[in-house]
Amino acid sequence: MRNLFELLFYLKELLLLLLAVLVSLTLLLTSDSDQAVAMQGVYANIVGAVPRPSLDFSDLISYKAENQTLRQRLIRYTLLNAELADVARENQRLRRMLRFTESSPFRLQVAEVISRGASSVLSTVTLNVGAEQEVVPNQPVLTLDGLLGKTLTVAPEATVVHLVTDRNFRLSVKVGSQGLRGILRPLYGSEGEIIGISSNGDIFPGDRVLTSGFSDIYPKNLPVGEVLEVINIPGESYSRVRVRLYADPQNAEHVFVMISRGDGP
Amino acid sequence: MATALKLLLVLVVAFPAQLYLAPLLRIGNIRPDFILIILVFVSSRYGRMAGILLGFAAGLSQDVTGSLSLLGANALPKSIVGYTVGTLNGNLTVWTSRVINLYIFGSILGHAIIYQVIMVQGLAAPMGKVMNNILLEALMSSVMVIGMRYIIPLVASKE
Repeated sequence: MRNLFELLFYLKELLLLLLAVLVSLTLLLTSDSDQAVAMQGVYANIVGAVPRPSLDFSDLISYKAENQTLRQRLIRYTLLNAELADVARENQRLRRMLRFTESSPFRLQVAEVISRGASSVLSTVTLNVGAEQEVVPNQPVLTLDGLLGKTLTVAPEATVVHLVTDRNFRLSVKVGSQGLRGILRPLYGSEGEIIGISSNGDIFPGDRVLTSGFSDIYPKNLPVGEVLEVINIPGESYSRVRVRLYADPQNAEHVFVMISRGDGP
Repeated sequence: MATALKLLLVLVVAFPAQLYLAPLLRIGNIRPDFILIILVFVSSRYGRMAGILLGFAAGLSQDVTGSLSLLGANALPKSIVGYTVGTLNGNLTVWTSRVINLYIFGSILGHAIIYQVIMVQGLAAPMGKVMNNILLEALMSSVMVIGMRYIIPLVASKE
């Protein structure tokens, strides 16, 4: 018996390592549990309460570049807006003729990214808005470029976002001139792939990928990405479509949470 | 008890650095892992036991803040690094500096391999990109640790 204790004492470091490995593996297999999400909520609360240290110099540089890009976009959108105003008037007239109910536009809440997590690879971001700003779980989060993800854990003044690049993210999308439907899943980095698209479909590199609207969370036609490559495997009836995702979680500073889908009555 | 408090203090200081400083120093998609760097120093100073405990606790904290779908993705490799680098605790005066550097690089490379394999498991990730990220992550942390070694020596524990 004494020898056994001596052996255990001798191997204590190895046993502790084994215990740590076992606990880690158990956590890896149960990451989707409610407890894991609750822990994320506690973290979001802490990060939301801690003021972000100001990094004025680097902020100034990035804001200057961002400001220039936004000015260019503003001019482009102003021109587009004038064009769209005409189309909207015509659309309203046609809707009235068809007695369609008016739909209100999306209601968006501007938010700032306050944390990108502590891992060496980005998996999640935390925003500076929460329940106090009417944010609830499962609301779409957008950047100026496209869909970034959805709200997952909401604290009073912070929200953890489930990113479109997260391994467990799935999204119903449409692509190509025929609006073919498929399921988007992330690949690696800022790429994803659409599965479930018939190999007969007309899809070409450069085609825009939009949300299909077959979802309780995402309204239709939100920009998601663009087609990089269509892979047809001989003998298979479905193509694999490689997609470049528009939203860039690494650089997103300001995002929009869609508080209301504005589907109307 | 004093050691445990010191480890806790190290963790408290390392975290804001990882949260707010690391994103500014990223190369491509990879950010430096300050917590791993501190873990190497702590493990070599206090040994395997402290290394495993700090590695697991710090890794799990990183997971809670970052790896949403993969709780344990940092805790697992960091516990192993805590153990392997903790071995240095008795060998710092025995091994040559070159061997120590190589050993540290090996441990950090092992961390990068385990972490990236967990991250891409189940995804159709291009192998070339994964290998690039593994090497970049390992090189980034190793250069920082080995560079800092000559400023802050890895001191063997006297306790």
